[in-house]
Amino acid sequence: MSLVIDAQGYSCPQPLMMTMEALAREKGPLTVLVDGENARESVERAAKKSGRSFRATTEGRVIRLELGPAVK
Amino acid sequence: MKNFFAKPLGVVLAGGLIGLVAVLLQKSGNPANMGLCVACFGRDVSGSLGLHRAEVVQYLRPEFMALVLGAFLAAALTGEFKPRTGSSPALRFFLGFVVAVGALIFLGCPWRAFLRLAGGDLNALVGIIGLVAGIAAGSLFIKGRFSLGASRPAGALQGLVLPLFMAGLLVLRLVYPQVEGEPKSGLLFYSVSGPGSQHAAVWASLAGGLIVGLLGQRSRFCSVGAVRDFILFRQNLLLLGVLGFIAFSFLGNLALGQFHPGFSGQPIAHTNSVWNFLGLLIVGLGSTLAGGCPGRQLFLAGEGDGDAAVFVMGLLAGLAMAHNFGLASSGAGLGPMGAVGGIVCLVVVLAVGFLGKEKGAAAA
Repeated sequence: MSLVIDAQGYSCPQPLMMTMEALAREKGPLTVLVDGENARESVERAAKKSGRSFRATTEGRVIRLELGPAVK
Repeated sequence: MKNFFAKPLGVVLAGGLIGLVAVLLQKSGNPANMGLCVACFGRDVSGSLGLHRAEVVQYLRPEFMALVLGAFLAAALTGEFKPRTGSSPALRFFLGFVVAVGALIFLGCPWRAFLRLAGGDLNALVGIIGLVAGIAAGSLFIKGRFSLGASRPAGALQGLVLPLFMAGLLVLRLVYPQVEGEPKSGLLFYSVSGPGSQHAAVWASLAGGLIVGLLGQRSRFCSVGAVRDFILFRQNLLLLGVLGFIAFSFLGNLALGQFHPGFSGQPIAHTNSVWNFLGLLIVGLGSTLAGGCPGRQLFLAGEGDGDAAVFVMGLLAGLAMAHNFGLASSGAGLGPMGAVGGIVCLVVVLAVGFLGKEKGAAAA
């Protein structure tokens, strides 16, 4: 079960802020829930920068972002 | 579904094109170094509606409405129109209000600060340093868990209300066109002299505003987010947009003979460095707490963000009051109550920063 960060509804830059804080302390996989395309884009950039895998799926209004475990 | 304008090249291009539109609007009749300015244009709009009676700054600028409508179109066409509200609307109203006052103390929103710089107005550099200082302070508050809370999905009407209001204003503009030399046409006030009397043709303003609204929504162009993301995350994507904006508008001004470097005698600007600095510091700090610069708030309102819509209404109220209370500067310098108003706004925005913590915020 991966850590879930619910960043829906927060304005910039909070979704990214919450993601970055989680990336720093959680080495395992991470799920971030957002509801805006711009939040998805910024989390995707952060994921790629950290070397983690990234997958986005849309379920209605919710965009589920799945980040893989940290790379050694 | 890949968004070209969210990639580095697309962001630079979008920022650059926005800058070029601004420069061309200046060439077509908009005031000098004011091809696009959310604060100045909002001030002219509130004046045209009679919310303030400063006769030289009354004109229902079609760009202001078109920025929202262009963003609305872009969002609707790409499935990004998402009505939402409930993230501290009342606080956002007052953030819009104080940002308006700060901008009129400096004489321009961040976009105009960049356009002034690109036109050679070196006072803008002092303002931009203040803007960066304000954004840095705002970023510190965000790092310290400042939050206006999360919004919730809302019904379509909540997201449509500001685009519809803007469309209604455009209808007024078309129903009551300007009459040469007359200060009023039907319900609307029209400046016969001063900055409010200088404007591009309606269709040019409309087209320019729509293009910028479309590009702004797609590229997330934000003058405040640009600096904030760099400070907080060392992400430079939005910064590329701002650099594109400055570079293209500078080159455009050079090509069109609109570049005149210096401190004194700059159009619609004053040389009070302390308040040029503090004015944009208020704008930077207030906008960072609200999640985006005034222009970005227009784009967000177009996307269905009801809280950004409230910020915009606060902005319009603040711009009107800035003139009613003598807070707004002019080419001659600060307004009679400018310094007092500026200090009050600084206190308000700092108080929001220190006190604005979400109840039961997601724990670390």
